[in-house]
Amino acid sequence: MSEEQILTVESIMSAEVHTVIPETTLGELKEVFERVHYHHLLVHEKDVLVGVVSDRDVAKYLSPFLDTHNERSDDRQQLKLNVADIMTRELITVDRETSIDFASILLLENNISCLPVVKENGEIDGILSWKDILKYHVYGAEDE
Amino acid sequence: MFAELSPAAKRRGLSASQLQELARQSGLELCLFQKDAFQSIEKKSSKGELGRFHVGTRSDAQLTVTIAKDGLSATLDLEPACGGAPVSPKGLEAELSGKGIVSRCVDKKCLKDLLTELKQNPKLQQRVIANAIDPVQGSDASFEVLVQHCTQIRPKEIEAGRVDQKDIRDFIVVEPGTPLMRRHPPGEGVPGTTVTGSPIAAKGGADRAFEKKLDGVNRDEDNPDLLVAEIKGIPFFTDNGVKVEPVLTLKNVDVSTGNVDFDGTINITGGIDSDFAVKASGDIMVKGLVERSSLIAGRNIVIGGGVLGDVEDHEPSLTSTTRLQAEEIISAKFISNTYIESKGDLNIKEYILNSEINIRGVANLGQEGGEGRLLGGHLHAERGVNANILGSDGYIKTKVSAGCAPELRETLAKQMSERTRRGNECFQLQGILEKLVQSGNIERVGKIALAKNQKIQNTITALQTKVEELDLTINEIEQRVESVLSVAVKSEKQVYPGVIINVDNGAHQTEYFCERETGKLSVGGEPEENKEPKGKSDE
Repeated sequence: MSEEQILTVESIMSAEVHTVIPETTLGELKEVFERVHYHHLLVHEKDVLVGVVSDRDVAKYLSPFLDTHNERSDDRQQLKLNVADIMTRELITVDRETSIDFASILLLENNISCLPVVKENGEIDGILSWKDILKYHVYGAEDE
Repeated sequence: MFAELSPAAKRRGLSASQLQELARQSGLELCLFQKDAFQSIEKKSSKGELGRFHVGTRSDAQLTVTIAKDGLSATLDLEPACGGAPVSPKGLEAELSGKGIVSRCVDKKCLKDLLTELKQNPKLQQRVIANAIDPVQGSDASFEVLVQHCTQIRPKEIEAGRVDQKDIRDFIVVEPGTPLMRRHPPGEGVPGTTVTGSPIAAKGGADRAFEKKLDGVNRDEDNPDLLVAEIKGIPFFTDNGVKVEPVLTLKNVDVSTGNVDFDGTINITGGIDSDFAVKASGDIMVKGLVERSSLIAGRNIVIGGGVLGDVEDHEPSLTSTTRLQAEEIISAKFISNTYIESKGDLNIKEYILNSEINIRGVANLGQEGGEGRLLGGHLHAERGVNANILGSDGYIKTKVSAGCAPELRETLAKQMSERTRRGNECFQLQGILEKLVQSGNIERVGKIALAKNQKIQNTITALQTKVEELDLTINEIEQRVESVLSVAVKSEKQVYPGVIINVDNGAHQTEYFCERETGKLSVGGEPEENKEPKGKSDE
């Protein structure tokens, strides 16, 4: 692997991405976040990235009394909200050939923790998290 | 030594044996007595003669040291003592010293033996006791090769226990100014000495100068005994000289040379045997035939004979054994079953058979009265094809294309897209940097802010460099696309069925399928001349 390849997002991003569609409900989303170890999900329409939703977004919209003896009737209604209602639509993205330095600056300066990696036509290509960048700086990029 | 007979009161006879015993008792038995001395005295005694009679002599040992006239040796003669004193070590030392013999010339072993022998009172003749020290002759002038060059031919180990029998030598290339050979002047030698210490002059070593004809090399300005390369090339060494050839000339490429990888131009006056690889950063020139081998040149490939590929290789590709790759022009008499890639033109005199060819220049077939036939395979020449005959009466499928290859446009689109993306990234970073500057005096913020500022600036610079590179590539591809506006595939004599021609001049594509034998034909060319109907032969 050449030095130039190491310096691009392609060498450190995760190509396997867990995605949801805009119609996914908050209830379903809550279950997903309870199962997985990551905090962001990419939202797609026909493979094209349309938004990003985080476990914080879910927490923000769901009542803390849900599934407790203090649960109110309105609390359960919120579970029927869609991902489209709460997702972030202002997207900051990179592509495979973006340099790791640039991606790092984007994460830091925009105070975000992951970057969707998209193709030229907007199709989801992968995801790059701050952990991926940290791992790269500590351990270097993995050889193919 | 005398015996004295004097009168006695009582007369008694003296026998020889009594006299001998008397001499022994007197310690005179080692003296040199005259012959029959005791018998003579016995006789005189019996006759009553009186008087003093000479019976013999007593002498000390006699040591003589003789120095040869040339002073190269000294010998020793020793007469043993007869009843007298033997030679003492001190006496020997005094004799040697007295003759002026220097101690470093004395044969120490001989001396040691001699001192032991002296106790035996020996007789010695011409015993060599000292030798001159020979002068040491000066060494002859010699020549030292200062670069490792091709002296050994043996397969190189490519991994533990495995060797490549064709990778047997490196052809070293030297840069101008490289020290190549040093002359060591003859030595003066070390003088010797005679046994008496006089000097013997040493003979100086034989002198030898550098070879007179020194092509491509110079004497070092500060050291006339040092030869340095004047030009870049391959050094060839003789006993007393070196020349640097800008061109590596080989008779053939075969088992004697192995694969050849040379930083420069290679001239092969013969041919290239099967299954060898020749690589040069400059030109590769082959006078004869290339058999099933690969040639990669940084500039041109010129083959006087032809290229015979593997007849079993029906679809030559980049991984084929027989392939030619050049950054500039490729010329040959004929080509068969070969993969060819070139950034320049392709000039083939006779024919191209069943080959896969992709060149950026013009393909010219049939110069100097050659047949100029393309038969089978696929020839793509970005800037056009000029041939005499396309296909054959066997109706062999032959594909010819010119102009923009579809991949070229894809590459252009990709490069332009990336240029846009990198440009946007650059723009974003400039915005971030601007915000950072506007947020206050960076220098007062601290080291982290300064490092951030520097990092962003460096990233912008890297992106700008990338954008410049992309601009260059895009510009080059655009020029290539523009240059094919009037590209054409031309056949001067004959086109046979089975020939498929595809011309893409960037604006539109023209396809031509030859369904029956056709004479002179041109497909493509100026846009208004592109009248060849798709799927029909030119009538």
